[in-house]
Amino acid sequence: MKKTIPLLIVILGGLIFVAWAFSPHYLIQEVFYNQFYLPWIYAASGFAMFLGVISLSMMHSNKIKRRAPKWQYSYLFFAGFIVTALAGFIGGTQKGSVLMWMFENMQMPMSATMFSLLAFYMASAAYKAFRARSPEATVLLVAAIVVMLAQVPLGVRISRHMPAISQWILDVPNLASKRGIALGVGLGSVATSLKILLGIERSYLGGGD
Amino acid sequence: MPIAQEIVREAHYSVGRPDTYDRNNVFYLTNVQFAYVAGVNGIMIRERMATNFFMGFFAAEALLMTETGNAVGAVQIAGTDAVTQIPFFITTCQYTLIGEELYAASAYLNREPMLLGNLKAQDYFKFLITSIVLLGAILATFEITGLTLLLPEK
Repeated sequence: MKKTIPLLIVILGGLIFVAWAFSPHYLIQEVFYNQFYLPWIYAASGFAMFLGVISLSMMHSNKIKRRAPKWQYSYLFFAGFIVTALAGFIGGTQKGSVLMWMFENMQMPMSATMFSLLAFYMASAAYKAFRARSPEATVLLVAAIVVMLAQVPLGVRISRHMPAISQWILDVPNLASKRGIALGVGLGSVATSLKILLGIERSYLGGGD
Repeated sequence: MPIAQEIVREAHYSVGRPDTYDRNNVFYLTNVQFAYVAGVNGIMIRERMATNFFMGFFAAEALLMTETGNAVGAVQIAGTDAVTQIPFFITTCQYTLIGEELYAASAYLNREPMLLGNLKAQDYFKFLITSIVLLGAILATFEITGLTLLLPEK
């Protein structure tokens, strides 16, 4: 029983969304999706976030209790969480509020910093990938050099055919392999969805009866 | 969250090590992409991870996490259906499951007849789709477009 009801919910929910994806009928598109599902999901997402906050708080409070390695950082989580929540609850979330100031001047620059690190990580990954240790790696190296040169004026100066060769590499061998992977991914995701819908894959229900 | 915790608990029980399961190890971090990367990278560096598994869909965060894993010397195994991230995983991880291999991993590991049958069905479908693509290409070359029109893009 502990497994049957969740399994039925999953199967029923899955079948409804299969109908939503394939049927343009008013009942499923408008009545179910727009009038029923979307308002419910907006309401439920708040509770999901609440569960997440509880989970994170429990993890950090346990770390502090157990004096786990680097437990002092957990106080920073609580400090950040309380200050941000108070700023939102007291000052509101409109433009010009403390919360928006914190978002624009703290969170955005920190996210941008993380994103900009990607450029350096890409250079390091490219160095590893382009070391010509085998014939395949050499082909990769040559293809990458051609594609990169074609993006800059220097490439056209070297050869006026460079952009055309680069486009051919992107449109033919590159796209063929991407489509091959996409085909496999499509079939794999359909098979996995069917396994869940038909109750073959049940690991998410846990091991109890 | 409870589903994720159940899956991990089930894995610990199935290998006979229920004592090693701690539900606090499965926790929510954040839904902001780069804040998540910062959190995961911090955990990797502080805890000196021995092994990292990256399974599922990834975007720009993939390389940031795998390079950090590389820097701490972790053994890394990745699997993704995100075509744009596969090159980064191949470069920075020891083993990479490419595309559909991600879905085949469970069948490969536990060898259950039902799951293996599923894989075989996928292969048959792949053969069928490739045959239709080839046939369509040949027919279209000779300007016979009946099959192409029968299978519209949208």
